[in-house]
Amino acid sequence: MLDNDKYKKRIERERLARKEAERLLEEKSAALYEKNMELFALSESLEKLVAQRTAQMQNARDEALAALKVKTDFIANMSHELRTPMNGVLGVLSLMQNEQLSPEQTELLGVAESSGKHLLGVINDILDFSKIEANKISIELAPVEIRPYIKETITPFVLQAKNKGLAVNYAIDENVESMLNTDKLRLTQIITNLLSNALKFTHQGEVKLTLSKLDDSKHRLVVCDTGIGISPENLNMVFAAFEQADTSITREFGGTGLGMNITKRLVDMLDGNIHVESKLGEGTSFIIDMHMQAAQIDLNLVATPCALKHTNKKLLVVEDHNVNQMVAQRLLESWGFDIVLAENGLEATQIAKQQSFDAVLMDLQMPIMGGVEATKILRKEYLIDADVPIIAMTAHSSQEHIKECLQAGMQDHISKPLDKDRLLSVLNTYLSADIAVTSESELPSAVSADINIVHVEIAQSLARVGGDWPLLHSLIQRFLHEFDDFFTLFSQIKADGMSQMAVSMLHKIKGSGGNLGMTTLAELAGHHENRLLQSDTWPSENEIHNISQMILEIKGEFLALEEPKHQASEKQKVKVSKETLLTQISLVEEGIKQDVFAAEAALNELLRFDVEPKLSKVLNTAELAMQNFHTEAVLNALTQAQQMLE
Amino acid sequence: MRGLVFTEFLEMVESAFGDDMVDTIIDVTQPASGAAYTSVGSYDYSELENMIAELSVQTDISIAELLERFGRHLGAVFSERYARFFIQAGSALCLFQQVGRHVHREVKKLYPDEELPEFSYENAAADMPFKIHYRSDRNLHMVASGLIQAAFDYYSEPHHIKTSAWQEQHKYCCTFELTPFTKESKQPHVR
Repeated sequence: MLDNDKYKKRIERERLARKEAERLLEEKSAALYEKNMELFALSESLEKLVAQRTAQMQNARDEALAALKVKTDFIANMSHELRTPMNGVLGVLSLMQNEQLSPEQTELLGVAESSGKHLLGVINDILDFSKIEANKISIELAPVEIRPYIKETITPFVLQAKNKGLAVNYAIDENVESMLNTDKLRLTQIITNLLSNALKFTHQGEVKLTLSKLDDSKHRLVVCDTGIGISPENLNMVFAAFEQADTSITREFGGTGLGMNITKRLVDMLDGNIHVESKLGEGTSFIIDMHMQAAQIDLNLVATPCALKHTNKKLLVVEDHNVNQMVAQRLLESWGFDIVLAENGLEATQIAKQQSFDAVLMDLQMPIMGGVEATKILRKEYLIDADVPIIAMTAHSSQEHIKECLQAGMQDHISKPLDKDRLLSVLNTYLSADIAVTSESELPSAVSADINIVHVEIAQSLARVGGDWPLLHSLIQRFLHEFDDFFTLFSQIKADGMSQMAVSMLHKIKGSGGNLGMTTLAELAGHHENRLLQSDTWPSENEIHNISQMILEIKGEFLALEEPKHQASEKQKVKVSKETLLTQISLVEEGIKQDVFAAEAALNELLRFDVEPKLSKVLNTAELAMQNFHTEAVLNALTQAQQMLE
Repeated sequence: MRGLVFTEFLEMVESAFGDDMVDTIIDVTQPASGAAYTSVGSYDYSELENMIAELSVQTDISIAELLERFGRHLGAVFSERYARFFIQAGSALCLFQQVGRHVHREVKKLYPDEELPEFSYENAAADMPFKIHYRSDRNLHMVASGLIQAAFDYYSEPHHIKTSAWQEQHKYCCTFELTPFTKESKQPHVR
């Protein structure tokens, strides 16, 4: 009995212990579960936080990019706003040099001009620093005649130095080639920065620039002075942005502390390196070793343009700025051009409707309508002849802007402030080329022998149009234009089961194609036309594709051809009265409203008449427009012609 | 105090003195927990104190001796349950140093409320004895002594253990000086 009690107690103890252990286990596992849930929640909220932060970062990045774009645009606009008035100032100074002046006045004017140019340089400096920061600077290498260039670059400093009682000298080694390939603008900045820096810190003695040849591609440019010098501990700070040797220097000498930093970055861009040697109280030398190769000289480009008298040449100058207008007008008139001014792009298009020009000088940023848009309209609506050059005058000389100009239909650009020589050289290039082209085009039949287009028997079709290649050209162009999308069109017709329309389309290809010498194509179209008519058999997808392919092949080769000159040959010209001309013009106008083919025929007749050159030009514009099926432009030109006659 | 100490104490009593002795000391001391101990639980230290005192009365063996035996019993249990630590340590002295550095630190993480004895070590020179200093709120240095002995037994590294204990305010302190046996010396320890 005693034993029984003992065992009962023991069992009870064990049972209690087991229950206790189970309770503890449950408690612990509950705690574990809770902790686990907490961990889940934490990791979830962490993920959310990460997503949120990522979104914030993306926003911040987008904002930063947008801000950068705003900054870039701002720089481009500032560039325009700052340079335009400088163009006026420098232009007026340049005009004054043409007046009768005393030697003293000439010298004063020279100082004013070089200071103005220097100011322009400073403006460029600040802009350039921002541009370098935004990686917006590109290096444009071109041949530079190095000796006169260095002399010209140094000249403003000679005067400045004279006032301080200093000498500025330069020496160029004899073995340095006369023409070197470099970026003139950037090199000027480098030299200007170094010279102005040297003059700033030199109180007596001289500043000297030397250029020597290290090897075929490397040259060394040294600017040394006898100035205050730089202490060794300050030497390595020279090229840091916004740093001068010490703050007292800023107080005494002024400056932004940007010059040397810009210089170093520009030297880097020109594939060179710069270092400085200096002794306190004795002077400083900046030594630049950079790649500058001897340039291949193109005599045509280098030859200084002589002031040819461009009599009877008429230019349209589109410029909103009064002073710039005056500068351009006076300059151009002094070379013998007739000038018509337009205040903005819209006015230019209106003037171009009434008068014809030999060239257009086009500013880019103007109120109401800018230069790019105006150019697009002039070209699209044939308001000026296709061979009349449009030349951009722009303060934006970035390559992107130039590309935009060329795409809009401009031929060239000159940067502002206007460079007299560059302007004349550009005008000479385009206007004399124009003459050369005109004289060539007087021999129209010479062209035809060389023409070759796949699937087209040119000789046969030329014979059909009386050897008139421009006419044949326009007919082929019209044909290709009409059946450009043959595959899609015909497939749709087939899908809709419109056999009447299909037959008519094939018939047209057969007829027109045959006349144009596209014999194979014509036969193919005829074959399918017959099958469709006789047995209601449609061409298969493959067969449609074959026809389309042939048209496309013709088009491919046709587009590669040069457009023919659109002048009716002189020998056939007939003298007629003014009344006959007016009647013929109204015939064309009538035709356009009713029957384009009749209009084309009437216009061709009109072109055979002998008229004065100005009117001839207008009529040629009409012809070109007609060939491109631009009836509105044809009517414009004809109205203009009528006005000229009346 | 951890339940493991209580369950192992009763195990030792049972194996050394029989089931009846377990019943007796429980019946006499009447622990509040009813002596339904589990190794994962936690119980009041006074229950152990009372049971050891009663065991001493019942067996006429000194409390110190009983504690020392309990220490050796615990050491043997640990070397089976936590063999990993013993194998990793490689020797008794390394094992002792790990108790302070790692083992107690990990125990603290699992049971933040647990009051653990503090150990520090002194290894002055090669010819001087290795010293372990013990400090605790509880007068259990003899359990530590038994544990040390068990470790030497486990690694077959016979050592002489010199124990000097004292009290410092409310802390029980003890220093163990461990000297390895030379070839000539005889093992004085009575097992």
